Amino acid sequence: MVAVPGFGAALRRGTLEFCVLAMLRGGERYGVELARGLGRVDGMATSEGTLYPLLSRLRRDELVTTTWRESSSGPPRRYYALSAAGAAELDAFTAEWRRYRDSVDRILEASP
Amino acid sequence: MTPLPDLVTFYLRTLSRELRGVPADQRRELLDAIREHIATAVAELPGGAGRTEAGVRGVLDRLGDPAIIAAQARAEAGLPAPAGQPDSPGEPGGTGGRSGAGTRGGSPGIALAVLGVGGTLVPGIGLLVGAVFVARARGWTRRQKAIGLLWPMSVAVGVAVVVAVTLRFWSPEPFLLVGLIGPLLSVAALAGMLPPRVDDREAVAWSLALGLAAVAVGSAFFALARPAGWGLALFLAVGLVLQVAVRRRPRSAVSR
Repeated sequence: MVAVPGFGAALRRGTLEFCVLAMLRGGERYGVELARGLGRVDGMATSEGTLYPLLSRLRRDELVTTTWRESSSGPPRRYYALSAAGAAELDAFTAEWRRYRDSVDRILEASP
Repeated sequence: MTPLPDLVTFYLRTLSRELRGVPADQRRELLDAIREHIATAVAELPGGAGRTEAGVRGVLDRLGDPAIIAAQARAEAGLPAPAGQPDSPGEPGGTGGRSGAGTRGGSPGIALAVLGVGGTLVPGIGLLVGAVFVARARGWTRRQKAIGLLWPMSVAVGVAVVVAVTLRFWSPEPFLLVGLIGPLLSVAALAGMLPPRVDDREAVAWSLALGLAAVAVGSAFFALARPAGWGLALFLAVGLVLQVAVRRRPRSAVSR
């Protein structure tokens, strides 16, 4: 995996947790699925392992909940789901992100 | 070809070592999650690729350098990055299974060999040299080193005193016993505390229980069979075999 240099890494650090929360909006997912999903998105790919400390913190902050589930192919998996608090946090971030993104765009595009 | 479980064990051990300083419950949760990720990702590789070395290496490479995962864990736990570590998970770094990860300090295996062999063959000086090697080796916390070196010596002295008093042989044997039991028990205790047995209390409890069991069996034989060599050889074998057996025991998954 290629690490994102400079400002890319900073942007990723600030937004990754909300991207993970957003990926859980459609229903619960297990770690490998989340890692794979992020790996397919430009700018989000990095060492898959760094996802797990983040998931652990989101669980401690009660933004996600976890359950163990048997699987037909392989060992039991831990599934992550969005909690009500997580959904609220995600909505707040989404609104703030759009506002901020539009502001940055306006400044970038207004320059001659 | 490296056996596949060894590749994974090595990766997890490296990660566990890099996670020193992270609170024990977070460390355990992360190691469990990474272990589960490896098992799942390997099982999901198409066409039996999970049984090949390249397949498993691919999974570990995508997981990334244990040092970078540990740096992220430290950041999430609000801990400062230790000196000489990548302080940002976004920094470019090597990929998975980097064998040089956590190379600060000497090899724990060599330290144990020096302590065990040197300590028994050259009583006194050998023990000191072994202790210095252990003190400089990686793989143990400072507390584990102190425990692994100090309590076996106390036990050895205790056993020697008991043997000397109860059996009333005021010969060199009790002192020989201290010289032999101390270093060997230290080796057994320290081996039991190496990663992936990462929980300090658990590791120390196991080392204590097994070390004491080994001493009991060893000294029983020593008392019964006067050729002391047999008893001590058995003591060494039992202690080391038990420690290795326990370290190999797979940890059960922790669910919450």
